[in-house]
Amino acid sequence: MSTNPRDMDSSLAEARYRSLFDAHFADIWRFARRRCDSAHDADDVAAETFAVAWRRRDDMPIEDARLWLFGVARRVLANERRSAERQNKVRLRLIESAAEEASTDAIFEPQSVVWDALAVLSAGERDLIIMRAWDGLTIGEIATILGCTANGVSLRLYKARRKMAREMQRKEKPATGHVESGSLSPEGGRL
Amino acid sequence: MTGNDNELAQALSRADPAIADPPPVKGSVRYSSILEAAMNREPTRDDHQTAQRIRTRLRWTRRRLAMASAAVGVAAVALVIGMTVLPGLPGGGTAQAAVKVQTVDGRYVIWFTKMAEDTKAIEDELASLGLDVKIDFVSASPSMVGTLVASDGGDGTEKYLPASGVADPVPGVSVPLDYHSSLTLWVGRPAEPGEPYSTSPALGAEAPGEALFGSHIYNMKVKDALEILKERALEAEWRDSDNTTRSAEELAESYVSSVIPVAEGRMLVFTEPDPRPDRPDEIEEALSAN
Repeated sequence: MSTNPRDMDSSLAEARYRSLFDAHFADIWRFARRRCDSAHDADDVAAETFAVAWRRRDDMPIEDARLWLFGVARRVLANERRSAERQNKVRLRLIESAAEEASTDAIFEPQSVVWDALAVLSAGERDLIIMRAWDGLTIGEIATILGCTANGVSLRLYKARRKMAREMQRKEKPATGHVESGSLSPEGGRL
Repeated sequence: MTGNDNELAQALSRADPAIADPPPVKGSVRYSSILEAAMNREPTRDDHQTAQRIRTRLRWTRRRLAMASAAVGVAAVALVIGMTVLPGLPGGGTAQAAVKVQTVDGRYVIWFTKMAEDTKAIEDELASLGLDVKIDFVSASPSMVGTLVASDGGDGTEKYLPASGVADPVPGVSVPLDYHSSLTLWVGRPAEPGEPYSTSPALGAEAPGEALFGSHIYNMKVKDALEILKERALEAEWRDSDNTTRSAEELAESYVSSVIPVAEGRMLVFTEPDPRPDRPDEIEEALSAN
């Protein structure tokens, strides 16, 4: 039976929190890394996510902690993106060189076919694909995080997967060696 | 699984940035510094909003699961404005109005007592109180009928809440008396014959009031689950772990991971090659409630 942290003394609450951090840190960090340009950014998003968890531990549902943390991480990422957009607008006025931005793209160069296909999806579709294929979330868990129905998630995933497969068929290059030409069906994929 | 399916899955797997770039391990300086930073960061402007919104979403999900079993009493309230309710609903009465509004502790508490196709009368009544509320009644699986299944609105702060305190299945929402934002509410109504459900409970067909309530079908082998579906005269579409449609025979040795009611008598069954972890006690209790 779970106990609300509010009712525990501070040392017990901290021990409980550290246990929660140990249990979920890797999942949350990976969740962030898949949506950030660098490991450094993922560190920051994970830290902010768990900072919210620490400060709002009274609000955290113990039984749903993992999904709650994913939800917080999504909000943190959205805030980071808005902040980055504001900063980039300033930077673009000050810095003419794009060399710094180019360096991050090199990380994903070997998987360009997949990333090109992900790039044609809307942000929402891409998020669904990543949650299912990389984060390993079930349809029901995704529905809970997004606050929609499992039916809706399933349908949107199907459409996103079909769009992605079509794009991969269209753009795949034999030279990449990752995907055989003309081999992908719109129905395929662990999604 | 076909070769084509595998190729897309493998291509995606290889592109996962978190494989080439794994998280810091416990005991490392980086791991400890992130933990330390998390416990010492100053609150941000969005902090409260982030935590509350997500908690509310999860709470609503759990609330939906427990709807059919929740026997809540009628709360004492201060004032009833133009209240008329249908026979058999809390408060009794015989009039035609599909909405009941109360004021409690500085908030309007709005109850939708009739699944009206014409929502304009409701919206007009709420507009007379200065509330810009849009209502949409959507087809719902049995346990979602009469529930507030989704909402959208507010000015970025948590000012409207699902109401509680009146016996189910009457859905409700509460907003401050000075609420000026627009609010859109989706409320579950019975589906027409053959009509697909627009909404169903988060834990699907096993929820109280649903077609597979009490079946214990979660983590059951497909070949066994098939028998239960036949006993209950249910049709099913079966999906493997890649969300690809398969026959029940092909998946006979797989395990049921979730079942979603998609229309009356029709289920969408997701499977995995291995059993899933046990569900939390709270969810099991909600699913076994009478």
